[in-house]
Amino acid sequence: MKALLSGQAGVAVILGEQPQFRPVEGEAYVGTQGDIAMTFAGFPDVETVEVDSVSLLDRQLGRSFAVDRAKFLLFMLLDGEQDEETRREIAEEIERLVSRYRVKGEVTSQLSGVSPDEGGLEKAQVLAAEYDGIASLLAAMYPGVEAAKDRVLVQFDSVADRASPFVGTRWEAVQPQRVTGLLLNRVSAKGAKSYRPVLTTTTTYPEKFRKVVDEIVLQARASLASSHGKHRRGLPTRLGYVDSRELEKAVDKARRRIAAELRGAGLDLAPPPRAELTAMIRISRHNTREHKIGGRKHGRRVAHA
Amino acid sequence: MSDACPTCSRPVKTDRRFCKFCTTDAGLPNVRYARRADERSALKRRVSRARLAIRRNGTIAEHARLVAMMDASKLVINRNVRRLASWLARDNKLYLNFYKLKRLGEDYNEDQWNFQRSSAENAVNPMFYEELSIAAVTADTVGMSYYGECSIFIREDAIAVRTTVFEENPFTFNEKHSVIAGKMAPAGYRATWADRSVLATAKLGADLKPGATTDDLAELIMARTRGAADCDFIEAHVYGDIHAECIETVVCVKPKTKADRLIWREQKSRLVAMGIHVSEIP
Repeated sequence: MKALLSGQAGVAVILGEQPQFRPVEGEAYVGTQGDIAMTFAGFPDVETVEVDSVSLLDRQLGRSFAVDRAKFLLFMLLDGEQDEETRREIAEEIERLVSRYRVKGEVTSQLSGVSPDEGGLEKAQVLAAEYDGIASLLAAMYPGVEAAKDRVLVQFDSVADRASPFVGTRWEAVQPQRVTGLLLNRVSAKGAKSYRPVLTTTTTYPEKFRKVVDEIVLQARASLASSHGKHRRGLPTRLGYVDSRELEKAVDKARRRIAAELRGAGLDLAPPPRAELTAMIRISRHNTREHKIGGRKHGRRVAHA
Repeated sequence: MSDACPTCSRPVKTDRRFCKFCTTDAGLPNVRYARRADERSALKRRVSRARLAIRRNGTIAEHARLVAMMDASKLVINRNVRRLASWLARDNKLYLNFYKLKRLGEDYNEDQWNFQRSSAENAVNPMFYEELSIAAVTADTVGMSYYGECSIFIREDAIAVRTTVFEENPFTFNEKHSVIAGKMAPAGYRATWADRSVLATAKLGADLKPGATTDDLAELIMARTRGAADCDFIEAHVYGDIHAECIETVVCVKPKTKADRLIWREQKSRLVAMGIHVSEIP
């Protein structure tokens, strides 16, 4: 069947002698040919579609509507001065639309084509920090925004298990520290205390080989730091944020190199699992400098991310 | 088909406002078109026939009330909250029709719908349809919310001199009168804003019923519901852009989706901040 639809208008019309109007989340009704012109007047995104069923048409309309409204609500957040509750409602609705209609890719793609006002970067950063669910959309518009969900903070459940042939971890409780508005060592589980991992080594790998692996891990970390660019002022470099996709690439590369070194050394050992290697890259064993954070010194040879 | 310049009598093209020879303001194209001799005489003939019917039906009093209601009627634009929001968000705060948005470079789908939408409009307003903002005439407090939940009432002083009224939706009109590509719309179905009650007489006079209430008359002027047997209205054509400050009142039926309710909340604040009266229908 042939139909017209417009995401902006939020209506699809099945064409025919008696056109059937199907509004998003509304009741369908029968209209006239003249109604079509009035309904779509001024909407530039009207398109003709051919679909096999009404449900497919509704789905297509829903997607088009969701893409339009998600973008528009995002612009509203960036341009407006809403109160906190309204902001939260808007952010949640954006997230709901994107998730329900599965349009994240399309929205992100369209937003990356927008030329935003550079003066909005700061607001975008604040919104991204406040609302995880829309952070990646904001990052699509403003590449300077670090998507909250892509931030590499310490996530304790990603650290290797203790059966690793290479490294082990032990946990020590920490008090959350606040640095320039960020909460370090965030509570990982709901209601849990804050913990941080402390890396230890085992004797499974020969000492000489451990140094090779250490070097590979350091180089992976350095490549992430350089791709990230400047870190936020006031924070130790190890607390900078990197894109999770960049981290994944660095982990893959490091793993391949370690596997090659193991083969070259004739060692019948597997390279560290990805999750473990990820933790190793994020939790540097070589950050031994003292850092003043919120006025307190951390002088132990421990690793933070 | 050109009009004569009032100063030098040379022809002024249908879609032009100023005489190219002496630069006299010949008047807005749609208003000039409605004032043409053939249009006025054809309308006059229709009015005469309608008056005969009014006398025959015994609806002289109802007709008088219809005229009074039409003289007090308002111009209303019905759009959804999304469209209203785009309008208010624009830096210049101008309501732009599809053709103007296209000229400004706004993206649109290359679709047969967009290719063909102008043909009906051009048949009714030849050559100058792109300059018109389309609205409707209403005698009550709500427009046609089935075309958009926001009924946006425009101040009369902002549109009176540049608006004409037309019998009905051009798509319906062209079908009824077999106006096909290449044919001109028949004369006698339009009037200036000041003469809108004359057009209403021609169109609705014969349909008046004895004892018709104010509600009945308002429903005749603009059908309120989708279920109406003849979902009908008198279309209004405003030449040029409409600035948001020309909005007098906005009446909004509660939007169905959460996203639109959020957008409406924001627009309501904007409108109130602009001193525009806002009301809501649950």
